[in-house]
Amino acid sequence: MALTSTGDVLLLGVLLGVAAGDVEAGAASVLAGLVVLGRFGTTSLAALAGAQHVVGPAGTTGPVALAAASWCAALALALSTRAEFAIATVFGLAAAAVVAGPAAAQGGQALAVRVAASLVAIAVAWFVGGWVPERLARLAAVLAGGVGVLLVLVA
Amino acid sequence: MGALLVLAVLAPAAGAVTAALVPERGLDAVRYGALGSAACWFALLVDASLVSVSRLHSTPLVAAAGCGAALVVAAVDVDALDRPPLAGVALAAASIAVAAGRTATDGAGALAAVAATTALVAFAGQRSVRVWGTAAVGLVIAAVGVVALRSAANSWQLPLADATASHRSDGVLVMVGAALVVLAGAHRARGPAVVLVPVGAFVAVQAAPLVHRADGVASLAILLGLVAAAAALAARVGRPLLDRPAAALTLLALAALVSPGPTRGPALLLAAAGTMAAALGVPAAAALGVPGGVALAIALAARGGSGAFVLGVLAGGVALALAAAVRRPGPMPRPSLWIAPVLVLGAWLLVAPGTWGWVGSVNLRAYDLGAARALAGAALCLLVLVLLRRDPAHWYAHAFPPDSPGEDVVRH
Repeated sequence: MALTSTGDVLLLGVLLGVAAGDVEAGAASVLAGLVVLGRFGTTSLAALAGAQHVVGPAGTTGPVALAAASWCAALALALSTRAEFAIATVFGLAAAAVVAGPAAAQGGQALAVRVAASLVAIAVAWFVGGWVPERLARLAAVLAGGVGVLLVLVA
Repeated sequence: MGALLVLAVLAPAAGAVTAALVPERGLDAVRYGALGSAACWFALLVDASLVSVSRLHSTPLVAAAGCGAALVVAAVDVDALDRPPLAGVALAAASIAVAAGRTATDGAGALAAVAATTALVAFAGQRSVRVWGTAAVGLVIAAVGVVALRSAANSWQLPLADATASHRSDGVLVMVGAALVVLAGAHRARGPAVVLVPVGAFVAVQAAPLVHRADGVASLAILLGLVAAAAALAARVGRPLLDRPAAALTLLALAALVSPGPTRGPALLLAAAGTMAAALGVPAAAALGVPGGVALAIALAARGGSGAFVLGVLAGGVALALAAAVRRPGPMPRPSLWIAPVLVLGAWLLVAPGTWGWVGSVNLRAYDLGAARALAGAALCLLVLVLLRRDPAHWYAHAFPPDSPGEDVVRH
């Protein structure tokens, strides 16, 4: 879903929680989805990708508070991962879709941005899964998601 | 279609008569009668037209409630039922409750039939004052609301055809009474009283337009949301006070019904999830609330405002509490064949809630696409794992352990 920008970001959050097998990870992922809903008014990943293709990556465009909220959402997703490469890949792809995920089919530049963001996000998620203590990472993920929602509400 | 409506009401009664005549196969007779009734209601639901026979009628909402009531009775646990014939009669009474009225729901007739259902389920299983006492209080409160409505509008109809005058306080009474009936029904999963869950939810859904009017009542929605959150957290020293997924999801549905914004569709999805959770009786059944929860989040975000925000926070709390309960379950009981129809409908609800046309408009197209893709991906992963001989079948051994340590020894 995250790779192809198809589906619902809240459903993606629930599925990520199931994949991680952890309630805190699921909560953080759903909070990230709520950030997307609050900022873009939709939970559709396709609409999210389309909007980012038109106005630019969510993390670098728009008011500062909203851009920061997108980064918080991506951070929440990246911190929710586990120390397994497959899980880190999934969470990394989701984080990239939230913060810099223009529709990849819209041209070379969009594809390049998407691929670069995905690689960086997967690397971060992989690092977090291997190096950051799990309890600390989960706490930070939920906090990041909560801050993201607050920023969207404030903006 | 008229014959199907009559059959939907009479099939459980026929099952009850058979159960009385052949006591040793009584429970099976009641279950077959309930499944027959569920099939008739499902056909009426698919037909989606107004069907009227004498003082009974069927609309998609009526058919959905009738189908839900029949399915929960078909899935009833053998240990929870002392007198199977009474459960069959109770289902017939519940069918009459949802179908009462010539072309629209007759409030008085519906409540009288719900009262009969309550009395019958109380005698069918282990009589618990928490069930019949709570339901009785709820019925009295709802009856006061219906009588007040009759005095003010000269009609027993629910909801009223005349939408110009305000009857909000009467509607609130009916909603609160229905919430108590739902709470009573959710006392124990797969017990005979569970039939009160879809019936109570149906009464609340019919009364909701009186309360909602233009933009809902945020205070009542928050109150019901708080009760739903309390139900999701309800536990006493390791033993839950009630079936948490069923109670929490259905009460959250009631809260959504009166919430600001276009939340009727999400509320109906949540009510359906609550009913199915009551029939399944496992903590993981809370997952059935995901489509309704997603739709509710979208509707509340579109509406905005403090009332919608508070209800959204409460819905999040309910989801978190139910998810935490799923993480620490005991050994799961072996699934009964009688819950197979509920499992099929539950899978349908999880994968394609956008096709549930009877709930009205819900913004779930993206969800449907994503769920279908996720399902296909999961199936592909499973296939690859099996082909690579990393057979993931061991999950079954964890989820469904043998009944006793010596069972395998005896078997072999």
